[in-house]
Amino acid sequence: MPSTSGFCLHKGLFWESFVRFLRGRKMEDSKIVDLYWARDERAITETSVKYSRYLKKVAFNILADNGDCEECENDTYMRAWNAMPDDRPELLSSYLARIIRNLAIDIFRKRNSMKRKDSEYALSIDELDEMIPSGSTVEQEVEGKLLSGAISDFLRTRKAEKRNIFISRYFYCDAIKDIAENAGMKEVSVRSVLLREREALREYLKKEGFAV
Amino acid sequence: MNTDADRKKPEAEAIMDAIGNIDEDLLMEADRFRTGQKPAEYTHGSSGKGRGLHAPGKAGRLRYIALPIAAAAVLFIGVIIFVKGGPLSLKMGGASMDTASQTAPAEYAMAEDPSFAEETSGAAAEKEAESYEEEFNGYPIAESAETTEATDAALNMEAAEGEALETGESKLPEITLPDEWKASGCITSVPVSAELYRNIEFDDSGAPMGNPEITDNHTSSEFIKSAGCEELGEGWYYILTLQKHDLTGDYWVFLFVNRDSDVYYELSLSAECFSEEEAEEIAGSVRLK
Repeated sequence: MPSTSGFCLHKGLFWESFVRFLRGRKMEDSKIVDLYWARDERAITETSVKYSRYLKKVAFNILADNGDCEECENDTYMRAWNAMPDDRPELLSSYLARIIRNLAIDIFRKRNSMKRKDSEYALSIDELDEMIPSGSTVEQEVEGKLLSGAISDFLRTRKAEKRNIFISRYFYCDAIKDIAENAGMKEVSVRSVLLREREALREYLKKEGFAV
Repeated sequence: MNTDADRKKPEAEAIMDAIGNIDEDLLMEADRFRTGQKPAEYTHGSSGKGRGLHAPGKAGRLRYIALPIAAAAVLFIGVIIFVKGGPLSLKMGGASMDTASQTAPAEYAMAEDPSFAEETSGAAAEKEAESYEEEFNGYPIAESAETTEATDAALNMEAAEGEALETGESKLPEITLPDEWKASGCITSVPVSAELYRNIEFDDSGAPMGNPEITDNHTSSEFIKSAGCEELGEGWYYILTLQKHDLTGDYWVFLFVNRDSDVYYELSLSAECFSEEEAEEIAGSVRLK
C-alpha cells in the first residue's frame, strides 16, 4: 500500500499533477481505475488530486472534525486499493463516497462509545443490553441486506428530485442548506420534502414487513 | 427511563446502515445531482440553479483562469531573460533593436521582406548593413522643398536616422521609422528586392506596369495613378497610391521607380494634411542628390 503522501516524493508525478492542475484538468475515472488495476501508485495520487476535497466533505458531514476526516480519507484510499482489482466502479466518486461514509460512521460510533464509557449509567445499560438475546451476525447481515434492498426499491418509486434529496441527506449527510442550493430550492421546501419522504419510507417498510 | 428517541436510535442506525448500501445506480444518480449534473426531468423551480459540490466556486474559477495566465507570463519572462540575455536587449536577425526602436511598429517594407530576415545574420548582415548605409548616405531629400512640411519631414527623418546610427547598434535605420512619420510625411529608400515592390514590372518604354498594392493587417492601398518624373532623371516614374492605415490614418504614397535602379524611393504625405494636388506638387519637388 503506497503512502498517500507519496506523490510528494515522486518528481514526475508531482510535475504531472502540477501541469494538470494548471490546465484545470483531472484524470478521468476510467484511467484512475486502470491505474488501480495495474497496481500503479499513481492511482492514489490521482484519486487524491481529484477527490480529496469531495471525500473530506462527505466525512466532515458525519464527523465534523478535520483530523478524523483525514484519517478517514487515508483509510478510504487503502480500502479502494485493496478492493479495486475485484471491483471496477463506473463512477469512482460514488464508489469512494460509500467507503468513506461507512468508515466515518464507524468512527462516529466508536467516538460516541468512548464518551459513553465515562457514564456509569450508559455502561449499566450496555451490560443489560448484553443479556438480551440478539440475532446472529449472519442474521443481522441478511436483514441489513434486505433492508437495503427495500430502501433501494422504495427510492425507485419516488421522483428523481425527491430521491436525490433523500440520498443527499441520508447517505451523504449533506446540510439542508447545501441540498437546497444544489436543488435550487428553499431550505423550507427541502425540509418538507424530507419529512414526507421519511413518512413514505416508514409506510413502505411497514408494508414490506419491517418492524419500524 | 428510556425516552422514545432512545428506543428509536438503534432502528435509525440500522436504517442509516442500510442506506449506506443502497444500489449503485441510485448513488451515482444522486452523486450527479450533487455535482450539478441534473437530469432533464428536473423542473422544480429554477432548474439548473443549483451549483453542486463539485462545481468550482469563485476561487476555483479564478484558479482556472488566473493561474494559467500567471504561469504563462512567468514562463514567457523567464524564456526572454534566459534566451535573450536580458529583457531590454532583444535581437532581431543579426541586428539589435535599441530601446527606442522597440516602440516602433514593425510594419515596414524591410521588416516584411522575408529574404531580409534571412539574410541579416552574421557576416551577411554586416555586408547588407554596409550597403544600406551607403544607400542612406544619398537620400533623395528635396532640394527645393516648397513647403515647410516636406522639409521638416525630411529633417526629422535625417535626425532620427542619424541618432539611430549613433546610439543604437541598428544599421538598418528604415526599420525604425514609425508609421506615424510615414503618415505625417517622410521620404525613405526601398531596395527593389523589398517584397512589397517586387511585382512592379516595366513596359518596353520603362514605364511601370502593375499596381504595387499593399495589403497587410493594418494597411490597404488604392492605386491612383502613375506618371513620368523627369525631375529625377531619365527613366524615373512615380506611382501614386492612397494608403489607409487603421491606426495612423490615410496617407499618399509616391513610389519613385526606375527600371535601371536597384533602389526605389518612397514619399509619404498625410492625406489629412494635403490634398492630392498638394501632395503631387510636393512630390514634383523631390530631387535626387
